[in-house]
Amino acid sequence: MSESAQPGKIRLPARVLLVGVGGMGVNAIDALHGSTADFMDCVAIDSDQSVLDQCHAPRQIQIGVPLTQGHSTGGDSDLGRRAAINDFVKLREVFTHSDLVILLAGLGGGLGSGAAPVIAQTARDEGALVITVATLPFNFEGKERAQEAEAAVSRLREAGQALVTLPNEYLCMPPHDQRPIEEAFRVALDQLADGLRLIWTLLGQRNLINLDFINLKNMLEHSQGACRFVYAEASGASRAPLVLSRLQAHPAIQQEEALKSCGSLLIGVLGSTDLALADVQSVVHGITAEVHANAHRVMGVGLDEHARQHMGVLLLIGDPAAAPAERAPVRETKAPVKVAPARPSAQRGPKRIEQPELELPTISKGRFKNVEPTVMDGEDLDLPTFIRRGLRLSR
Amino acid sequence: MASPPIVGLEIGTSRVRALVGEEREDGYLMITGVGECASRGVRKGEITDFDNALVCVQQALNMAEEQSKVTINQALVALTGGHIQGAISRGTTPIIPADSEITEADMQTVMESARAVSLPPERMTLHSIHQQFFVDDQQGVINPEGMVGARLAVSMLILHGVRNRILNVLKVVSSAGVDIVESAFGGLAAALAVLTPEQKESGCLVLDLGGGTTDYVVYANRCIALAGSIGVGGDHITNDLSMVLRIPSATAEKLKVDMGVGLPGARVPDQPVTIQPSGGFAGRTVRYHDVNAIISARVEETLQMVHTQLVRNNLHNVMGAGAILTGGGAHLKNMEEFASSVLHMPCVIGRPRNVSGIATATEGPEYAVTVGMLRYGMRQPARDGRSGGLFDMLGRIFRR
Repeated sequence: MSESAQPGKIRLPARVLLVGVGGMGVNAIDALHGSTADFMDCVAIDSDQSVLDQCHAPRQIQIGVPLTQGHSTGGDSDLGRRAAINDFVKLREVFTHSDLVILLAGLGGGLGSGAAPVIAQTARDEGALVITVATLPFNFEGKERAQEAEAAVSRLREAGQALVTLPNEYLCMPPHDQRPIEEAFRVALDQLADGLRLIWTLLGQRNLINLDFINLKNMLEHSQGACRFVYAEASGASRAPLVLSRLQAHPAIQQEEALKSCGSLLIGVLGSTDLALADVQSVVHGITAEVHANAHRVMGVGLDEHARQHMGVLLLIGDPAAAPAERAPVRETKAPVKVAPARPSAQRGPKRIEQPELELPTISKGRFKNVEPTVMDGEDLDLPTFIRRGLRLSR
Repeated sequence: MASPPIVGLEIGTSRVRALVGEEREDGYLMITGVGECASRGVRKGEITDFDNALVCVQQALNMAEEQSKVTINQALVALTGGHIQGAISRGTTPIIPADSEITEADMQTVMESARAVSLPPERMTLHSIHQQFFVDDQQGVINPEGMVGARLAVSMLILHGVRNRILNVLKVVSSAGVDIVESAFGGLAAALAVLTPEQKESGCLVLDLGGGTTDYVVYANRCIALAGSIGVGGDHITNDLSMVLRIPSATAEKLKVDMGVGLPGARVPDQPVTIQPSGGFAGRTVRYHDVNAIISARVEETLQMVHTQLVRNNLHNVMGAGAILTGGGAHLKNMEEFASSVLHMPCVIGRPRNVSGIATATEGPEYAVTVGMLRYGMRQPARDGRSGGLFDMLGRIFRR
């Protein structure tokens, strides 16, 4: 795929890092690695050595060893949070040279709910645009897990610029779906991988209708930090109506009517070279018919020279909860507060010249590196209070 | 004629300090020599590099020797470190026959039983300080001798620390060719140097804000109610700045000293703070509010930990004389006001009392611990009964 981007490569948003956190995140990385390895760098993060041992990601980071003794967090999100804080220096190094970080996590567990927000914030503080893709637990996993996930959602919305939630419930739609569980998961992950690849391709090449890093950033800013991810593709002569019907059958659109109420919408279309204008038109019309006129819309249409009779469409549907017309003014006042720290990661990305400043040797735990840590109530007091309290630098 | 010179030594995390002093006839302490050297090989009050620490101790001692024109061959050594903790132990003994007069022997017995706490094998008792006696149900008895009762009890504050870490400090000193007369917890020494009898009487908190540790001693109900050390100090503030802002340590240290801690509630406009280039560092502009937030978060947290200790022991409302701040951290700008707001009590900077001689050592709160060690030395021959059983054992180990 990325090869297709080579000829027209003009503004590659530099370095993209795919990060999997916790059991679910690491599984996702593993599943995506095969299909995304050609265009993204991957890192797996977990506290459990055995999980990392089985993972194929080229880079693996174990966190919170002193707290978990190298085991899992057992679903304790506070332990997950402390594990990430404990190793924030290591994490920071990972993100130093990233412009876009895509963080994958399953919410409801210890690391997904606890560590992911800390990691997202660390990446953001390093100047990366952070998109968190998080799965929400199945309803049958119980109320406690759902509440845990809900709390994590709000923390993640604060921490990164964008949060894409993928409720696991969608996996068992339609209700009488008899697919094996493994296949259901794999299909979901494949869709995620294809969607990510689509957006990556569009960002990385010259398109018929352009979509660049700043468009994406603006769209995410308008989404107030939360959006839905819907991807569908089809091949053959009747691919346009097929794609449209698949998109419309997606639970987020069909059941939650996310399009009707969305505040922002990104439509990415990637087609083979024989893509007809009418095809694009019919799909976009079909999608946007219900969308409020005031919604912020971003669109990109690009060609994939390697595909034949193929069409893939990605929708990022921002903040379905907010009615765009009424909420618009609120959003505007809020946006700078929340997103202002979107310090020039976008400008940084494409145009940045090599950093002129001499890189300092990394200060890890600083002067307390080789001393026994001062631990009180499970907190390593040698780490800056500022960081442990989740404060952040103003930009 | 003044008594022979005594030497106090503190191997601090940021500085090694040695003082030579003489006791004057009026009870004043005359400082005749000051030696000071930037510390290397010490972190959080513990020795991490023996050889470097030894060189620093030798330098400080040499300086003090030169100035005072005496040869130092023995010293009193201050001890600190986050491992030093306080625990209250209670001992009880029946008076036999019942309702007879309590004797000196009964007091010794009951104190002995209170001292016999079982510590983990790696720990040793630094000090056991008796707090108050109980005769039957009567609390707060200072001296029960001659009183009548059926049962005598005593509560004692046991200060204990990790044996090897204490021994390592003492070993550095003995390797410098100096005998150890006594050693004592630095927090107690600071209290000894700065407190007035009135402050002790009304209840107060002595907070020694060191480079590597924050030591606290609480006087309440006319005894030492609580003492201990937290392994967090001024070094942590510097390190926080260095890590969060990504600036070199030395630059961070300077920034800390320049900025101090922000006044609680004060509305200061945010402004850029320029950090000058140095070494391989290209210089940077940071935000005033960021620096302030980093420093305040750390100082507030540290003070809060002490306050939590007070609350846990129900001592937070009996500090009539407030808190007395000593140590280099007391120099941090606005520290008194900031500490007052976190600890909810008036805070003042404590300076050594009844000291004359070389001005640097007589004025600064950072000398409280060393001056206190000298005071401790002065009290040695006729130690008052209130803080008994202090440190002979360790002294013996290193004197042999």
